[in-house]
Amino acid sequence: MGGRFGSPLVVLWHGSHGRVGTVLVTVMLLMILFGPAVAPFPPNAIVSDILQGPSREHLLGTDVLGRDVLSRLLNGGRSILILPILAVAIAFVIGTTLGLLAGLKGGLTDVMITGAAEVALSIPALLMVLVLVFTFGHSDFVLVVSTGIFVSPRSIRIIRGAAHAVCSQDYVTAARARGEGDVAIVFREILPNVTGPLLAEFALRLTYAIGFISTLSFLGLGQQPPSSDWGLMVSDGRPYFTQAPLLVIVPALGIAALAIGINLIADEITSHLARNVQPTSN
Amino acid sequence: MAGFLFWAVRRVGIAALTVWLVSVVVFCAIQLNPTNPAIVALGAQSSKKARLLFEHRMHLDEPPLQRYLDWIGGMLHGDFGTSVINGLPIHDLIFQRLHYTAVLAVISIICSTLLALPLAVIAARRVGSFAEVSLSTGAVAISAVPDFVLALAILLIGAVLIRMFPVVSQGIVDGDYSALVLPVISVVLVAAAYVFRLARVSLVEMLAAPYVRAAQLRGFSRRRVLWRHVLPNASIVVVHVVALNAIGMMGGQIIVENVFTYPGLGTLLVQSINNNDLPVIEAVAVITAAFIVTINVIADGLVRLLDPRIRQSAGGR
Repeated sequence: MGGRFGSPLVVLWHGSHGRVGTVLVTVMLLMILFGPAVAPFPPNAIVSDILQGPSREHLLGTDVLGRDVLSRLLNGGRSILILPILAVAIAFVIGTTLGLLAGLKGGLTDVMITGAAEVALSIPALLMVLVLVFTFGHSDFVLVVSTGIFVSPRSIRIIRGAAHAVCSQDYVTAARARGEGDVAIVFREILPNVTGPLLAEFALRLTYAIGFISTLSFLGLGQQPPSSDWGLMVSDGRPYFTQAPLLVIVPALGIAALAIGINLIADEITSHLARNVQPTSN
Repeated sequence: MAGFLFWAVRRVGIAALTVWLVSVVVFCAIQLNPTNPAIVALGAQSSKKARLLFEHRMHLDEPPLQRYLDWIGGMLHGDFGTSVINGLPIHDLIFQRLHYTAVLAVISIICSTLLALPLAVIAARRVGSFAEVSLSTGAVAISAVPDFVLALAILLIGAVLIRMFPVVSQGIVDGDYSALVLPVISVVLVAAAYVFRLARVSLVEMLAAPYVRAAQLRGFSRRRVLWRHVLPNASIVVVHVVALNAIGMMGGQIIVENVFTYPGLGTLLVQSINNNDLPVIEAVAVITAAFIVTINVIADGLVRLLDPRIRQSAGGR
């Protein structure tokens, strides 16, 4: 990122979106990282009567099995963060490879790759991932890989577009004239110049993947009991919504805070890039 | 018009190819699934002979390619097979639910467009105003939050706090549409946020275009410039956005249906996955895909017909 991008924190602190986003994400990260250490009870221990309201001993009450909701919340954040990050990383590996290939090679390769991405984009990812998860089981591996595959078409398009725009710049022509190969051009000329847009896209896709993977858990096809994954906590609490709405509200707020925070950061990066765009001839 | 026909044939061809690809992926995935339909239907205690008989009756003993061709041939004729769980024809199971899903989808597309566009116009005319900032922030927040979280928030307000609507939606029973309200609001909010964001950006761009300045310099009122010059141009972008929205909305609708237990295709899909009802999963997945692709082709066609610029150029988008 270096000089061109400025210090990332300064960038994020520039606008109100960035500030709120940074604070939200920091709080959620601290909670996810250190939550298990400060949780008053083990997440799966039955410690009280069922469906208790908030009390001094159980700040957020207890769930339908009599487990402490606060402890489950503090313990359940990891899967909601780590799995989406891995999924988006996979999507970006696929997206960068195919997108750069399409953007650089052009011709038939380009037509085939963009065509395939187009077809994949016209089907909701959720539909296909539900079928895949059903077949291959709901292990973390299957969740991450299938989510990554179905998030990738959008990344392919973005990266192809970015590569395409950069390819026609003078410095790439100059590099070609110097006799540099495709690999050198990709790593030395193109990738450094698309870091900003890719970063914004990564954050946006991460928001999407968090929603996606927590949705799978909510539908019963992601994390399995007795996990205290937040999506699964929402799903577990759904039948008791009228008696104990906190069971649903608490983990849902956790997911929402994380997703909104990351999205706001993506927003701030995007508007930073828009401010710093140098007017070019094309 | 010949150009449009050419485009339409090509577009429908791609759509058919998409649905066919989905059918292949779904069929292969289901083949790889270790679940034995005979055990699902007859129970683990069933005799070997009964299972073989069941497999023969369901044509499960034939080679996969033969079964794929039979299945896809049947689908084309409206014969979707039978459920392994209750032995009912899938056609009957799906028909009612497809109706519910279509009702929800159509109402939501219309309402979200009607809600989002005026707001986008308001926001685009007063960039930086309190109204614009709060609308934009609201739209960002709605798009960021997972659909099921938003739907649950609406369920909380409508069914738990003000107790006006049922917590569990049974669809439209005896002309009572109250169960439809909360699911519609959920889908509409998500879709409207999306349409609003895209429409606002393109309206802001259009209001800054040279022809708008030219019209203003000629002394036309702001209102006249907006209604006579900008909005007709923007309508094309809007149809495009609505088309894009349709795909995303269907994904969201699967989730919203499940949150409200609204009896549409989305709940049927999740239910049959949890029941290991292989033929129903296959049929629902392919029909949902076909439904979405069809909506998309119609919307794309409307864009073509409305926009003289695309209509004249023979090439793609």
